[in-house]
Parts: sequence; C-alpha cells; structure tokens
Amino acid sequence: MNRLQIVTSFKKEIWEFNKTLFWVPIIIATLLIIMPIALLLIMDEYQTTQIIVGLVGLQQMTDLDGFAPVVLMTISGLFTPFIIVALLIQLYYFINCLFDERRDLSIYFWRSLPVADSLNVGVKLLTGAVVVPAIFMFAASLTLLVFLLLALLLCTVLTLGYDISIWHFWAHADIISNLAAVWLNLVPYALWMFPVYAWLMLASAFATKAPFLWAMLPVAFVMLVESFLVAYFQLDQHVFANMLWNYFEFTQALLPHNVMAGNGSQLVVFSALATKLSAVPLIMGAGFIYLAYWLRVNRSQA
Amino acid sequence: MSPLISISGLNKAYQKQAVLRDIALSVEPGQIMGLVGPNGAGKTTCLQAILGLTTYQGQIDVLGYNPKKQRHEMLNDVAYIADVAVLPKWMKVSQTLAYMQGVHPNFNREKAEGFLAKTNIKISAKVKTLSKGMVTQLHLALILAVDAKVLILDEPTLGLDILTRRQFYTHLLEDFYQEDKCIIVTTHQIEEIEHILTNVAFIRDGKIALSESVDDIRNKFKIVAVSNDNLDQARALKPLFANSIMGITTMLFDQAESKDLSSLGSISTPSLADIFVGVMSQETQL
Repeated sequence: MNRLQIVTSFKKEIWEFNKTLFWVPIIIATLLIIMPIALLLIMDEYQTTQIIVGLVGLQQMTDLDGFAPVVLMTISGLFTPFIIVALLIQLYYFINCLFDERRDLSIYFWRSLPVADSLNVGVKLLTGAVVVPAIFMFAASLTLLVFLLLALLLCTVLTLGYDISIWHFWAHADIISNLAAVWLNLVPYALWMFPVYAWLMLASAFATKAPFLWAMLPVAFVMLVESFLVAYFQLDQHVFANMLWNYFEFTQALLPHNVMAGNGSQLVVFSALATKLSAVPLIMGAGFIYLAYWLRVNRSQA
Repeated sequence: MSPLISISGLNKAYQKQAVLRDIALSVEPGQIMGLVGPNGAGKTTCLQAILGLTTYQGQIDVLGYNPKKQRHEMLNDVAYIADVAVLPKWMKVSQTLAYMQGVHPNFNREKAEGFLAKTNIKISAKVKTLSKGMVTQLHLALILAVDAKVLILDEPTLGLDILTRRQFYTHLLEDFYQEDKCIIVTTHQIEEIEHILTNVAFIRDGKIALSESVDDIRNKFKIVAVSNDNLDQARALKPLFANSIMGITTMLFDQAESKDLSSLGSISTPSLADIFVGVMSQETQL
C-alpha cells in the first residue's frame, strides 16, 4: 500500500460517480445564484427603494458585534441544500458501492490487482463519508465566493452610485473563520453518521439483490416485532425505536444548551454534533465495516 | 529448476460438496500449462485458490507467497484474466490505464498503449461501448503490460470469434511468454491452444486425472484405426476409448507397445482433444 495506490483508489471512486458529483453541485449552485438575481431583476421600484432605505440604515449602524453570527447563519443556510443533496447521494453511494462491483462482475478485475481489500473498503468508506460531502461543501464554498463577489460589486455600486458606504460590515463578517467553522462540522457529522454508513456498506456487501431492501427491512422488522411485543405485553416503551430516535434526533434543544455551556457561537453546531457521539454506535459501526470487509474477502467470488 | 507454482493436498468444498480433491500440481518457469476439464470439474475454483480468491485446505505456493495470507503482495507478480468480461463498464479506456498505472507497481503504461495502438480501441472510449472481443483485447493489453512472472487465464476467449481467439493467443506468445515465466490457462477449445501448451492437466470431479508434459503424453498415447477383423484383438489390449464411424473403429491406447498396435491398423499420434475425451471417458466408466 502506498500513497499513489491510495490516491488512485479515491480517483477511481470519483470517476465512477463523476457525473453526479460534478453536475449536481453545479445545478444547485446555479439555482442558488440565479434565484436571488432573478428576484432582484423582477423587483418593483418601491421594493428597490425600500432596500436602499434599509441600506442607508445599515450605513449608520456602528455596533456590529452581532453581524458575524448572522454571516455564520447565512453561510450555514447556503450550505444546507448542498448538505441535504449530498446526504442523499451518500446514501445511494453506500448502498451500491460494494453491490455494484459484484453485480457487474468487475470485482474479478479489482481483486486481480495488488490492492488490499482493506484499502478498497477503507477508501469506499472515506469517499462516501468525507469526499462526497466535501465536494458538495466545496461547491457551496464556491457559491459563497460568487455571492461575496456580487456583494463586493454591490458595495462598489452603492458607494459610487448612491453614496452609501457599508464597507465596514466586511471587517466584522469573520467570513474566513465562519466558513472554517462550517467546514469543521464535517468531522463530527461524519462520525455521527458513521454507524449508518457502515450499516449500508454491510447491506451492500451482503445483498445479492435489492441492497436497499436489505438495508431497510431488518430495521423495519425489528421495529415491527418490538411494536408487537410492546402491545402484547403492554410494556412501557419501544426500546429500539427510542434508541434510534434519540440517536438521530437533532433538535433546537441541542443548540441553546451548547451556547449556554459557553462555547463560541461559531462552534455551536460542532459542539451539538459532538454531543451526539458515543462509543457504542462507533463500535457498532466498526463491527459493520469489518463484516462488510469480511464479506468482500470471503464471499465476493461466490 | 524450482517451480513457480506448487500445489499439494489442495481440497475445497462448498457446503460439504467436494469441488477439489487432493490436487497436486507444479508449474515451472517456461511452462504453459493447460488445465482442461468439463464444466463443473473445478478448474475455476482451482485457479481462484491459486489466486487466494477463495478459501481452501492444503498447500499452495506461488512465487514463494502464500496466496491466502499474502494475496495482494503476490498479485504484484501474478496476472489474471477471468472467464467473463470483467472490466468495469463505466470506465473509460484511459481510466483503466491510469488506474493500472496508479495501483500496479509493475505496470508499463507505454507498453499497454502500444498494444492498444494495434487495435481499433480508442483511448477515449468507454468500456461499455466496446464489443466483447475489444474488451478482451483491452484486458489482455492491460495484463500483458504487467511484468508478471505468472499469468493465469480462465477461459479467456470464451464467447469470442475464431479470429479474435487466434489473435489473443498469438499476442500471448509474442508479448508475454518468456523462459522465466509461466502461464496456466483453462479452455474448452483445447485444440486451439494445443500447439502452445508445454504441459497439460486433465481435471474431473475436482481430481487431477492426468498431469504431464505434452511431449510425454504424445509419446504415451497412441490412436489406432482398427480394421474390423482386428477388433477383438484390439479390445484385448484395453483401449481407453473406442469410436466407430463409417465402419472404421478408432481406439486410443495408453502405453501400449507400437509393435503390438501396428498389426491392428494404422497408428497415429492423437491430439490432446482425443486424449482428453479418452481419459475422461475412462474416468466415467470407472
């Protein structure tokens, strides 16, 4: 195993999904850029006047301490559609990554080459968990850059055309650190979702047909049996269903708690995601990944 | 000369059904071994065991590596083409070259591009747009560009037309074969590769029925066109196989003396296909 092998293995994963990973972020970015510009263009004159008045008001603002959190929320809002679509693509990727190579028999080719199975499985895990969302976050960052350039243009036009100066907002925006904070969320997010990714990879390695059903049916079956047992024995609660709910719920309640705990506002989401992490799901995820690896090694030729 | 591949006591079973039984084989440098057997005889399983692609009991040594424990190190020096078109269809030809260059330390991209330049395959083409013959040519180009010591081919020309099949084996001899390398090939069309084989192993029901050099086999077996008058006399010599067509009976004999056979009819050297049929028929009778 060497660096070139690792890099080439990542490239291979990206080649396989290059159309999706290239065009989908471009489409989202284009929509996000075009929509506000189109709104601006079809705006009535009175609305434009209201905006100018608002900007004049902004010009006179001196206390801009609260501006950086607004920028952070804006950046987070911009990233949200990218992250949601990335999640759908991640789920699709994980469900198919170890199944497709057996379905099209290309596993015979991959396994005839001097690449360790552990490297193959590890690269697939990292591609789905980190590379795919990172590509979408990169696209979101480029979209942000386009908006910043448009904002720069707007400031110039306001200064030259309307004698309105809002340049001082730039100094209080903390754009770089806010952007870095959003990117930092990828680490706890990937760890939080790791058991799901690993479970989907296991289903992908196990299924001979319909890997999606193999991923969903066992969970649905356990929940169904549990519901039956709870109803039959008149138990207090659904342990498995509650466990899943508690793990995946991401409510507002997590955010104020962290703010009150004294964390910097930029790291609120990071901290909230970090509170979702615990050893048992991570160990379970590691177990699923090992089983997926074992199946690829021992059952891929069957 | 020490063998590049040595196998002893190789056994494999799927759910208590034995598919390989006490296989013993050895392949030395310079040898091209044909592993020949009917469908379900265990050829592919045997090759997969050699490649460490399946679990097994027994001892296999490939270039000093244990395929079970050192599979991916071993594959630096061992190349393999499976019996089906296995190149990923979503890949471009250029990507297959780039991938091989990235993951295989012994891959020579210029050499592969040289092979491809002799074909109709465009570097920018996608594998899914290529015909089956072209996919095989591409796979062969990738494999021949690997400086491997051992080449394993599992029915590599299955489903290809005769021109492509001949081209395949010509390239194999011209561009891969050297005295310090060995090839193991399984095929149903034994008559097509008979001239390139140095050794042959017949496998049936997971057991090696015969494993010898092609020269020894040709010296050992004789085929005789027996006249009707001599049939009883010929049967007394216990032929492996007899076949009657248009009043002439041909019989295959194992290690019979030429002087005994010459009185029965005209003697000729059997093809490997004749010997295969004879040995397999004998096994069936047993």
